[in-house]
Amino acid sequence: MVDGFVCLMGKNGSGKTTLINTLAGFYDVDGGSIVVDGVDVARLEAYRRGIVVVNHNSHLPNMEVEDHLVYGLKLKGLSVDRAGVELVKSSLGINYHGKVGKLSLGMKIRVALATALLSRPKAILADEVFSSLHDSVAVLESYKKLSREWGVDVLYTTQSVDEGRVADKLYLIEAGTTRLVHSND
Amino acid sequence: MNWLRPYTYFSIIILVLPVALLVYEGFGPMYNSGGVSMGVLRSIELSFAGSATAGLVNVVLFTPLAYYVSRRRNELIAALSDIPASIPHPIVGISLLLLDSPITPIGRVLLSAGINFFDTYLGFVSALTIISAPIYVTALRSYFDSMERSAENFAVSLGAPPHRLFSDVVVPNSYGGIVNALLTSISRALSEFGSVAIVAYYVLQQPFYGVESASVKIYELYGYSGPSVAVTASALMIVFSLLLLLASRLIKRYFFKPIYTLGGPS
Repeated sequence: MVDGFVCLMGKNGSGKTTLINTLAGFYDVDGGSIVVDGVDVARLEAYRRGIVVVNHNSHLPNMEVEDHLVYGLKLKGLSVDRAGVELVKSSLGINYHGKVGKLSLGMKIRVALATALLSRPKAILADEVFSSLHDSVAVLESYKKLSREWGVDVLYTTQSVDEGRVADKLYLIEAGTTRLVHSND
Repeated sequence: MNWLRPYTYFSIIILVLPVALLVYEGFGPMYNSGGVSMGVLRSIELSFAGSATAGLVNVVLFTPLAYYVSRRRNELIAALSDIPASIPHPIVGISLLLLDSPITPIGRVLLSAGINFFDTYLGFVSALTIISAPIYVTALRSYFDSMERSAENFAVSLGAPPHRLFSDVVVPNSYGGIVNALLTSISRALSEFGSVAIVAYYVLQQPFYGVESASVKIYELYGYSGPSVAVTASALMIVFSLLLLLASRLIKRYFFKPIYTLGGPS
C-alpha cells in the first residue's frame, strides 16, 4: 500500500494510529504479514524494520538539533552527507539550533521529519504531524520532492483535504478497512 | 475541601513532631557534649560515605533493572527485587555473612579472592546497597512508568538496538529520575541499622578504623552513655540528614528541570 507518497485519511478513532504503530512494530500482531521491499517484516523487531514513525512527540529531547538530524544515519554506521543535510534543513525550514526538547512543537516536528528522511529508511509513517505546521501544504510538497529524490516511501495521515491532495495516492480508512479513493497513476 | 488543610497539617505534625522535639532537646535542655564528639562525627562521616557509595552502586547495577521492570511489566522480577525490603534487615546481614563464609562454596571462592564482608567497608556498603536497592528500583521504575515513550519509539524506528536505546535515549532523558532515586536510596541507607549491626558493627579498615555507622553509634551511646548523649548525637545526625534533604531538593529544582516541553506555536 505504501508506494510513493501516500495519504491515509480518516476520522478520529478510525484506526490510523493503530495501523501505523502496528506497521512499525510497536504492537504485537497475531497474524497476517507486513511486506517491505518484498520481505515480510511482521516478526522482525521494530528497530530492524527500516520503518520510521513520526508523530507529535517523535523527538529525542536531550539532543542538539545537528546531532538529532544525523542520529539515524549514525545508528546505521553511514557517513554523513553534509550537502544532503543542508538540503533537507533548508527545504523544511530548519534554521535553528539548541536542544530539541526546548523547541516549539512545529520546530520539533520539522526536525523529526528531517531526521527520519536523513536516516535513509525504507518507509516513513507520519501520523498527523503536517497539520501542526503553519505552512503544512508547502512542507508536504517539499517532503514529497525530497522523498522521491531519495527513494523513500511515505505514508502520512491527515484530516485535511488540502493536505490529502498532495499525495500520489489517497486512501480512506473507515471501520478498520482502507479504500483507495484517488491515484495520480 | 475545608477539612483537608487542617487534616494535612495534623498529619504533618504527627510526622515531624517527634523529630523536631528531639532536635530541640538535643541542642537545648538535654545537650551533652559527648553527643557531638569526634567519635560521633566520624560515625556520621562513615554513614554518609557508605550510603553515597551504596547509592552510586545502585545507579550502576540497578538502573537497567528498573527500566526492564517498567517496560516489560515483569511483576515476578519486580517482586524478586523487592525481597530485601520485605524481610527483617538483620536477616539480610546474616545472609550476607553466610554468603561470604568459609562454610559455603561461594564464600570460599569470595574469601580466596580476598573479598571479606565481616567488619569491612565492603561489607558495610554491600549491606547498605542490598537494603537500599529496592527503594532505588521502585522510585526509578515509577519515573520510567511516567515517562513519555514516543522518544523511545522514535529512536527504535530509526534503528536503535536496545543497548543504544538505553545509552542514547533512556539514560540522558532520565537524569532527574535517576538522581531522585539515588538521593532517596541514600536517605534510606543512612537510616540502616539491622543489617549493618550484623555485618559491620565496626569498620576495621583505614580510614575508618574502628568506626561504627551513625545508627550503631547512637544505639551504643544510648546503652552505654545514657539518653542525653544519644539524644544530642541523634539531633546532630538529623541536622546532617536534613542538609542532605535540602541539597537534594535544590539539586532537583535547579539542575534537573525536565527538558520535555508541551510544544507551543509551530
